[in-house]
Amino acid sequence: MSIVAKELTFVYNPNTPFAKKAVDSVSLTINDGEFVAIVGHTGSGKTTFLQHLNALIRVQSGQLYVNDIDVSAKKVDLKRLRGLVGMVFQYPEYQLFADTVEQDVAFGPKNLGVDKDEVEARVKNALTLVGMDYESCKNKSPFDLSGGEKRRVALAGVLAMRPKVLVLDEPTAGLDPEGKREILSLVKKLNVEQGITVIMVSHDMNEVYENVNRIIVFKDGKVLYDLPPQQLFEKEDEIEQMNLEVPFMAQFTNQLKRRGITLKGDVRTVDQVFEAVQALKEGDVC
Amino acid sequence: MNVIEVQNASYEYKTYNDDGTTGTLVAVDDVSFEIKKGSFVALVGHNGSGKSTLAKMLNGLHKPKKGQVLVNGLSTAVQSNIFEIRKNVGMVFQNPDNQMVASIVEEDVAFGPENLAIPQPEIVQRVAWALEQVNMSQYAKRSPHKLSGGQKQRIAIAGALAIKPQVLVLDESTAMLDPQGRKEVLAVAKKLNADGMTVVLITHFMEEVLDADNVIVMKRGKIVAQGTPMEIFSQQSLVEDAFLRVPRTVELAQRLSQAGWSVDASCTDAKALGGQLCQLLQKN
Repeated sequence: MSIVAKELTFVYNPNTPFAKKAVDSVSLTINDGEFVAIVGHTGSGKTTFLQHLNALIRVQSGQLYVNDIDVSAKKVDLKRLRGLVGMVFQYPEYQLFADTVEQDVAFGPKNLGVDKDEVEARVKNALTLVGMDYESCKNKSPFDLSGGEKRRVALAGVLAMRPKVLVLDEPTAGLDPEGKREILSLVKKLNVEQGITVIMVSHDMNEVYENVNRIIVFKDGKVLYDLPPQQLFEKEDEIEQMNLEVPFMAQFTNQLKRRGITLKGDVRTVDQVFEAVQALKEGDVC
Repeated sequence: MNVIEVQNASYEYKTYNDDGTTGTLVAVDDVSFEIKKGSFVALVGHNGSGKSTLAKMLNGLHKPKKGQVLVNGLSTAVQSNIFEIRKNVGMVFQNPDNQMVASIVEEDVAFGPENLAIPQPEIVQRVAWALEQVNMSQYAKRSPHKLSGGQKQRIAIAGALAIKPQVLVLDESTAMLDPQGRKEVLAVAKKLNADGMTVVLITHFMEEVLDADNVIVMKRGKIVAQGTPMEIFSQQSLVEDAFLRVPRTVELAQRLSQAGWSVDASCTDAKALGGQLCQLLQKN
């Protein structure tokens, strides 16, 4: 079970002088339980691609399967597809609307036709998952919460749909460093403990580098690279040419590598790099 | 010389509870600091720490409930000073889309000076000058809606510059931009500062703070630390207690230095730090 795209192509305003190819024969597979980042410039086609995953945009040409659902078919069970793929847009807290936190989180499952007791159980579960205390927050207005809390409640609203795939568009934008850390560890937890496949769009290469296992780089509607983080950012010149940032820890390890020193193991966070350098002290110099 | 002096200033918001009662939320709590003319000051703090409220106090959008804020010696609490103060303290906010008032770039930039009743020929000059400062001259006749986020934000900065302020306050003006847009806006801020403008930069990106002359750290409405970037970032626990983080390269440099590697503990360039370490290793 997974996401499989084959030769997916999408053109805005087709057959007009304004035609613009946003996604250009993209083929890729994302397996269950992966934590993938999609990066690329504004206008690189990453959002258009992702909007296909729950049929916000219908397939024009090529094929797309989400688990057993053929999204490229004429008739798609949208309710089931959208229950499967949860989308969290940028600044999701702007989409909060209900009078209470409980009603807001319940909106999705209610519309899926889930019965009342089950809805309540899901709301409780989703709020707990995002680290909110159900009893104390359920009757509060979502607008009285802090920025970080609002974002977590908005995320709970999507989790209450029990998605198998979570698509997050810049989940940490606008948050302070601690808020970023909280959201990312929450997303990681959902990925590891709940087995949810996570696809995250981010502009913060440091954040991407430290957290995901696979990075897909979009450029001009095509997949330019599809690599594990360390391998991707070894291509320092190519990445800089694309005007993407090379993560600081990658800049550091790449510089060592150029001088013939390779740090051992997974060296993506400050902690890991520090430990690996300390290990060199023990006379482990290559 | 200080262009802005904040003296024991406090600000509180009225809150409305579900049961109909009201309360107060102290957003800025007895804060004092000075901004030297021509300096580059960074204001950092967690979400809700009061930094945006404080920014709005710098030009009298919020008036202190206690204490005072002086701009060139004029108090923001005195209504008749406000016009003069706003001429001297320009402000650019977070969302570029919320700050566009006209449908053509040059008209948008002209909005400020028009409202100051400046003669038309001088407005034309100022608009041309302001657009040049932010490298957007070639977009003067375009529609702002078709620009990228970074370009829009530079137009917003030009709009503030056209008033010819002494101080430019950027309230998370890079928060919604992609890395390219952020770089553009920061480069403009640094250039303006190099040309003599006082810049107050409010941000969540710790890397943006590294070039500031002075960093002010806020936590829950209070200033918890003030100093040069290195004075601040050498205190990792203080920074993390304020819900912030030390820039990754600086953290690594400091930890390596503490562990006995003789690298520059205040290195901010990851590549250079790597180079230093290589030299140490290859000497042996």
